[in-house]
Amino acid sequence: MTIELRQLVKAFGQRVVVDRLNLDVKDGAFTVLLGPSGCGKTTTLRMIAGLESPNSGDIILNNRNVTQLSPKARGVAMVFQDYGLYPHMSVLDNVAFPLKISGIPLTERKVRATEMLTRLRLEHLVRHRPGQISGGEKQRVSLARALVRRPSIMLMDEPLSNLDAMLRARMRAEIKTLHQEFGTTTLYVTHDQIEALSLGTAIAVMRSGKVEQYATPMEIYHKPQTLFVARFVGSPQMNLLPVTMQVTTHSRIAAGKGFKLLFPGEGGSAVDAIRNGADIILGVRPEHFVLDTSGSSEALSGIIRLIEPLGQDQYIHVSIGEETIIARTDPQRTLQVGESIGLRPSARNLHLFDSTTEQRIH
Amino acid sequence: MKTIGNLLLNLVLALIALIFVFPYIWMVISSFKTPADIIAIPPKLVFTPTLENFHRLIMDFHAVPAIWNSVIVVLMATTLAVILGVMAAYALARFNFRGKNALALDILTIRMVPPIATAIPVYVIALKFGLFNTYWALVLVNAVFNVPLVIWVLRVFIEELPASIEEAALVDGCSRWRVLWSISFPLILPGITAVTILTAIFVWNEFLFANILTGPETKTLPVVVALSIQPRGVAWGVAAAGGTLVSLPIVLLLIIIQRYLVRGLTFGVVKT
Repeated sequence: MTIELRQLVKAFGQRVVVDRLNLDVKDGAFTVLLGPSGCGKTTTLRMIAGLESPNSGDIILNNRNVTQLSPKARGVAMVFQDYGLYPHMSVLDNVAFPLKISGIPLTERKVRATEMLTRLRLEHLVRHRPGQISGGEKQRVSLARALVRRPSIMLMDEPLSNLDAMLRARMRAEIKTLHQEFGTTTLYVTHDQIEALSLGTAIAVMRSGKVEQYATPMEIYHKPQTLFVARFVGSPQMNLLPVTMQVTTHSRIAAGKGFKLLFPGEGGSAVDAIRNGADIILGVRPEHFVLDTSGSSEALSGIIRLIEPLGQDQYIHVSIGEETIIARTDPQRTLQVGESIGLRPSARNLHLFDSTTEQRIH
Repeated sequence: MKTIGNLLLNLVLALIALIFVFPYIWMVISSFKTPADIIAIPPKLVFTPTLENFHRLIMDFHAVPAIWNSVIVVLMATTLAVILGVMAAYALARFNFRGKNALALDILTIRMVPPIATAIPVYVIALKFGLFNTYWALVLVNAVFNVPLVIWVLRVFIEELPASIEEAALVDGCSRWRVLWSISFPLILPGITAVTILTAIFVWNEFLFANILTGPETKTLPVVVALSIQPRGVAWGVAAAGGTLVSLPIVLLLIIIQRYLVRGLTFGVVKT
């Protein structure tokens, strides 16, 4: 139960939406296509479902090339953003519909649909029409309809984006539980990086019709391969500071607009290879700063402009030279707006990007 | 205060309705009067009803075969127009092809052309193709003139139908046809019903082409009723009876389905 995409291209008129895309989804994986709107993630999903036909390239499901096949010949199930429930049928009939189409006798499909609805705690709604139930219930019905066929591949197109925040968190857990239970190979499209990180066993970050990075959630978060991935994943965003390297035999200093930072002694060969005068982008996640009032040159000093207490965390906006960075601090620590402060980035969690190629250096 | 206001409003509405309904009621009453009673001045409000006018309509003007002809033409033309219209509306609403909007406008212009402008060409065509004095001439002309209505009303209905509903059905294993029959058509049924009724009414009422394309065997009811108006004078009783007869099915139909018709033509189709 695998998905392989080979050199997939889709253009609408002159606009290339999916550009020579390659992707392999392993059996039983929960792969998330993550990207901003217009990056081609939904189009990719729709091509796999057979709702759009690619201009070129191949779609191979379970080692079978399905590129030219109609949706019904592909045996995939899909969950839509706006649910796609049949308004003129009851919840039970909605869920039984795929079974009806595949010719399963009435009694059996009733039993199986009821089982699936019970599994999703919807048994009290069987007689209702989609118009009479809530958004979260609709999405669960739509999940039940997709799962009732025991599909080998499940496609989900932003299934949670029409739900409110609380419901979204609950449904996220529900979807993850269902995946653990059924083990269906799943491709999930979202622009929400929290969903991607919490659900995926692998994430493919997409940009302009291409996969920018395809890796596990941990790797995407801790080792973003490009500036784009670094920017897109993580909330609040990673701090990205353009700096020029001043390399001498004893030290490496990153000089930005109105600030300097001495790189700590340890480094790596990649860091060592950075030439004097190289323009790079220095990335530090908000949680990777330590308050440092010693005035060390390994810390950035600045003035607190804004404090955002969020209960368990507290984010401070600090202006450093001409830049503003966001750092996470202990909420127990009393800080004042206008206070001078030192922030030392943790050496192990520094991200360095080449400012022209936007690729990761370290 | 509110009840008095309501009462006044209802009174005004009743008055307006009366102004519009009065001539019609006058006609219906006249159809049951003798020719002498019809032209009596002052108008006779109390009279002995008679079926003489209807009798003449049936015996002298052969109304019964005409009713039958009308029914056949209505059934065939409406069926044809709705089947063609649903398909075309679906294609115009769902598929992207070159010149789509131009085509939709072209179709609409059929409806805008004054029928009388096409009367002579249509007559010649019917004659040359041997369709004159057959049901087919009337059926085709009526279908063609009403297809634009069907298309333009249903196109909106189909466009309002969320694409994801059909796509869900495709992914669930349906063929395109199956999607149409099991999902799309049931969902736009209110629209189809409304437009079918409207088309049927238009075809039933159609006079111009019925007048020029029919012979003695295929005359429809409006043509026969019009015969009561002769150069030498109007047979008022027969004309009134004919008018009553022609309008009867439509009035009954509209009373029964008016609420449904308005909903079908005005409401959005689907709420998911």
